[in-house]
Amino acid sequence: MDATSRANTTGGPQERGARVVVNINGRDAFGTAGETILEVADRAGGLLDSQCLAGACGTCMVRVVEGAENLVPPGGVEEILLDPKDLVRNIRLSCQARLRGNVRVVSAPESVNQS
Amino acid sequence: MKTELDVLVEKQTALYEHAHSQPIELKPFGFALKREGIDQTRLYCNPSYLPLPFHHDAFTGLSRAQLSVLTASFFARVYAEIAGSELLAIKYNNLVAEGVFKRYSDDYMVLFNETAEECDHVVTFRAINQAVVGDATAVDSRNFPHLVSALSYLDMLRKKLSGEAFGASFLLLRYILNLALKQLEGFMQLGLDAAETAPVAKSIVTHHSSDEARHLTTSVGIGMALYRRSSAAERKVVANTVKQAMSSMIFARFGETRSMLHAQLAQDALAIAVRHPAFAELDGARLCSLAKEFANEVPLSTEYASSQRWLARQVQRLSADLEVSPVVPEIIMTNFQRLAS
Repeated sequence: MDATSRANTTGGPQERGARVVVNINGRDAFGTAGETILEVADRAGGLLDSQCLAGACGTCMVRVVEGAENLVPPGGVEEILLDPKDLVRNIRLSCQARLRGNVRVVSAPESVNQS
Repeated sequence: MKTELDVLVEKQTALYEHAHSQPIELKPFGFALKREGIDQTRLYCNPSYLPLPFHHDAFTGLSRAQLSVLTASFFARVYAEIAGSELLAIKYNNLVAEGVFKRYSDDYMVLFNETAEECDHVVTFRAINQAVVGDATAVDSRNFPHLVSALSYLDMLRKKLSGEAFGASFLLLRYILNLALKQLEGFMQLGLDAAETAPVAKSIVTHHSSDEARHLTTSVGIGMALYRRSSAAERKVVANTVKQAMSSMIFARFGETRSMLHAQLAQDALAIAVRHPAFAELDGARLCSLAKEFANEVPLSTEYASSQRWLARQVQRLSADLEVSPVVPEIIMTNFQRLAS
């Protein structure tokens, strides 16, 4: 995999079905635009922790380090489950965050939402 | 200062109200399937999720209609088991809430609302089984030995434990059932093209999974909160109860080569399917016999492998939270731990 295909912020949104690179905790995984981060992580061998698979538990939280604009903006359950401070820090639920381009994420168990 | 339980109740209440901000019930989908019957041009789950010997000559020639009926039968069988489990929740959710929360408080209403959703689900899954299997009573929890055991064990615990400890026991056992059934529902349509999927099946899985995601979260969230509120002596009883359930689950589902229960479920679905007119030209008894004979040789799909990995991690997490070690033969524990890591 060459440097130009690594996750970067200059990729921009792509057509649904276009190939994307998701760097998860330092490891590249490959998916298609329209998939969720978790779907890509699962296919790559379970790179992220998860539980409810439908945006109710928060287990699959990630922090988007690069490429936040390459994800469909949060709505619905993410806006309910995540604290506003989380959203500002680019914390997303990987089971809900749909890809439009390349992103780089790290696991984020340290949400402000957790007591 | 808000406790972890306060935060959980607040979020789950908001998620429940969000889910019901538009009138969404599952019943219409169940009734649609009952009205229209099996769409023999579409699939109800990914056939590769069924551990059947599709590589065998007798199976490679199955027509689209036959695959539709087979996947619909598996779909119905999965939801029969889910309904059986939900009947337990209908019985105990409100008993637990009455035992630990102020009536009609937000805490109380989480379990109350879930019961209302479970009733809608059971009506739906009864309709599905009526349509596909021809037997609405297939959803009875008494059809599933592990649910019968769970019911009698819970009845016994209720007499012995305080409200909090019984609540913890019930909810954490409910969580283990949630996990087992989510392994089926959450992964059985993975890899299936949208154009191939029966729309009503897709809708049922999507909407039911969304409800069950909240139920699963509250099972473990409220369950662990009540566990921590229990006395040290009662925590030991709760932990031991859950440890036994986890051990049974690991033994049944993380066998040396495969899950015995998953294979049995697929064979049960096949036994239902071969009774359908679509299979009239085939020797149904031979297909069922081959399914049993080759059960240990069917290659496991990547979707099923994902589901096993997911399940192992959930059970591992719970055993760590409760500080218990499940008791299973070493070879099975090795397989389980490999998947959980």
